[in-house]
Amino acid sequence: MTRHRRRYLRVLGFLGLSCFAAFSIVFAGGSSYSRFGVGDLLRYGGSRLDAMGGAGIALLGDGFINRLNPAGLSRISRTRISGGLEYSSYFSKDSKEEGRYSRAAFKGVAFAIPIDKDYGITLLLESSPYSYVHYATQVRDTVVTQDFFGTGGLSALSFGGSVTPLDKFSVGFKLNYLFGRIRQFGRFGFADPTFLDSEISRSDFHSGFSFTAGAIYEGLSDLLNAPSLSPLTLGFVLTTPTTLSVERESVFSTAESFDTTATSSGKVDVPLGFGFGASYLLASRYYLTADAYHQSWGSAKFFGVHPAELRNSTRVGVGFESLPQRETASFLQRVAYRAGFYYNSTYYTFNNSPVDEWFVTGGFGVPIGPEARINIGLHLGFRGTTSNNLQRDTIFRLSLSLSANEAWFIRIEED
Amino acid sequence: MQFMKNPAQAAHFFLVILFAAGFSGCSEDPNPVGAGLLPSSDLLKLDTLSTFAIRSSGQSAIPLASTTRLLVGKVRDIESWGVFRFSSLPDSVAYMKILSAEVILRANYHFGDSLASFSFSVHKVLQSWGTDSLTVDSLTAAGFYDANPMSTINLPSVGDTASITIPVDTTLIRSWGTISDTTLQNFGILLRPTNSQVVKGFAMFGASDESHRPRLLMRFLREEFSRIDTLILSKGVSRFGARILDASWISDSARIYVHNGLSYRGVLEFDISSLPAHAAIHRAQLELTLDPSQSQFSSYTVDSTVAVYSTSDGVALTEIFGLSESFLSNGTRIHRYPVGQFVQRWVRGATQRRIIIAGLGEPEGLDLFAFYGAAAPLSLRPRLSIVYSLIQ
Repeated sequence: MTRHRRRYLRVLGFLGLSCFAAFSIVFAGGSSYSRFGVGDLLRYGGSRLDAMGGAGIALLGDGFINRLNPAGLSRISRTRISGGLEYSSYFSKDSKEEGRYSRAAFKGVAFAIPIDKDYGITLLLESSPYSYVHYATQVRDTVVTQDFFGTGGLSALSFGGSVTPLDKFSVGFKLNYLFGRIRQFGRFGFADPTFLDSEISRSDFHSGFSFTAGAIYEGLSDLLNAPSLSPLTLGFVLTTPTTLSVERESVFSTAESFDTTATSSGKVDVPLGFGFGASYLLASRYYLTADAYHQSWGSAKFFGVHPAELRNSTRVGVGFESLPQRETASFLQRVAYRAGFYYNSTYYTFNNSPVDEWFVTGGFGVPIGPEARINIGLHLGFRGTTSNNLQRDTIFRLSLSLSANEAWFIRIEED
Repeated sequence: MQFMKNPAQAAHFFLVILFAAGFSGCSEDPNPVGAGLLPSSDLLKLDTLSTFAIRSSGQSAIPLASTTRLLVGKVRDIESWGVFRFSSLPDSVAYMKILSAEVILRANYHFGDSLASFSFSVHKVLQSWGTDSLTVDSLTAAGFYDANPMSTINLPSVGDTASITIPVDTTLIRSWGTISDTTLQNFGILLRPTNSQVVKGFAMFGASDESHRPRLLMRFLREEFSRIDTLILSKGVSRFGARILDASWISDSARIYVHNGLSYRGVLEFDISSLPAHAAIHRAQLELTLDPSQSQFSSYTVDSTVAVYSTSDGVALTEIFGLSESFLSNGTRIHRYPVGQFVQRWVRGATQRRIIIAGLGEPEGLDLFAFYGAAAPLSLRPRLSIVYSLIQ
């Protein structure tokens, strides 16, 4: 493949990402669960980890940017760029109704720039979605049809890096700027034409900082004098709690008027989050990974009050990856194959009924050049239950990311 | 999977798949799934408030500038004067001799006795005037017009589709100059009523039917050809000013009056302090009861009135209005106005909670609407019915 062609593919890939970022605001609908808290929490580690049950806290490597644990950047040898997007489809039902929704969303972009390979010093600049709100539901009677929509969510803009201060021990950190606007709309259409159809919208802009620190240890075999554990790595990641400042604006509008009814400010807690992970490289060919991550939403306050719909969340996942063979002519053997499973006791709870989710995952890493891959992740799973006035979501997600060593920063003589 | 051996093709394949998946998803209207999760604070809870006007009064306004009709005449205690001005003459006739000039007006309205005799005097206007500021007081003031009439027109009666001809002194025409003159001398012609039983309306320059518009017909002598040429002008501006000589009814506290032509309007004031400060107004209707015994209509009456928002300093904000819907209730005629936008502004802190009632035909006729006011019996008082919810 010529250099021009590779560049063409990269440009094509990022054009695709950009287009999806634009399209993502067009689609409506989603699960009503995202009405609560700061919306559905996204724990995005990239499409590679997405396909492995989202388990990658302990993964080190040169071929990807570990967006779950900054310590995982320490093996990157060349400037790497990664960007992703996701298409998700929801089939939701409650005790009476059912409906389908779908959406597409940009999943952020990350740059990793190695500074010193011997000490594992790598800088990270990352933009990732943190949560999203996307719902559309309706309450209807003979007087008024009430449509409720929610859009937006939080994003994280992070700057950090990794270092390997001791042999087989890497640490990483990143400073996260959490920000984003969550909009909630109520649209009221009256059967009686003498009533003014109206809309109430509430817009909350959140902003605040948190700090993430992570570590990965590869020396357990030495520590325990157990050579069989040499392929084992352990990882740990922690994100500090923070309090986001929220600027709120409420607007009431009709066909005749547009009225800003209230502006206020408040605080929203984002609690401590921490997780553990392990990975095991079997026969130098197969990765097995496992993660657990916990966040203490059970005591978080929103505008001074703890929402009854929130509880502590815990997520556990396991993953598998068959590493590609590099020195082979077979394209299929150069593809990475991944699978996984995860269970998440989400931070939602209603009427003493917790909302849990289960997903099976899978995916591929398709080479598109010597150091570039398109990673495809698939999720299929369930969330919630139709009992106790809740809803059950059957969710399909297709994520795609482009991960490449970037030659843009290296001067190459033209042919 | 042959194509998969080519990485470029593979990349294209997956991108196309993803785009197709993305585009296939946009079929999204809200449906009731998950509605049961919504907190009750999200849902609309309607409440109602019914209140009566606490004060009623009236105010005179400057009539709207745009009118397609000139009202001239007198009936009972109402009189209306008219003034109009044709566009300037072209330069080509600057040195031609004007043999004769006459103004032709087409009638299209009457208020009063349609068969009564109609008369007025024709005067030269001496001062400049504008259509957006000329009031009846300035129109009738001494010095605005030449008190010596150029002519007096006496007609036995004028039908509502008849045309009348007013001879105009040619020296007046010549005094107006031509279009290239730097100083405006063309102030127009004033019609002062001298009759007593009818006000006639004449189509003016904005009339939709061009053949009904006023015409200034002039005949010139072209001496070089010994020929007589005719020139007709039909562009210009006009204004009428009407007044009531006995306004004792204004002090009637049990009623509000809306008088078209005179641009007299009713004013109502409400107390909505019992409405919560963050209320969202979904419907507000004002109902006025008409007193037919005190109203005066004609066959030309535009049976609509309009509620206009009043600013804190009492000025009518004409872009915020509600047009009346008129209906009979137990034999009584009610005018109902949508005033949700008014009340929404009141709730948001407007200091004056007033509504001005004006006639829709204010610049076109002389109809009088008499509505019961704040001092009328409760069943007849202006009533404001509000449906609202509380914004969370």
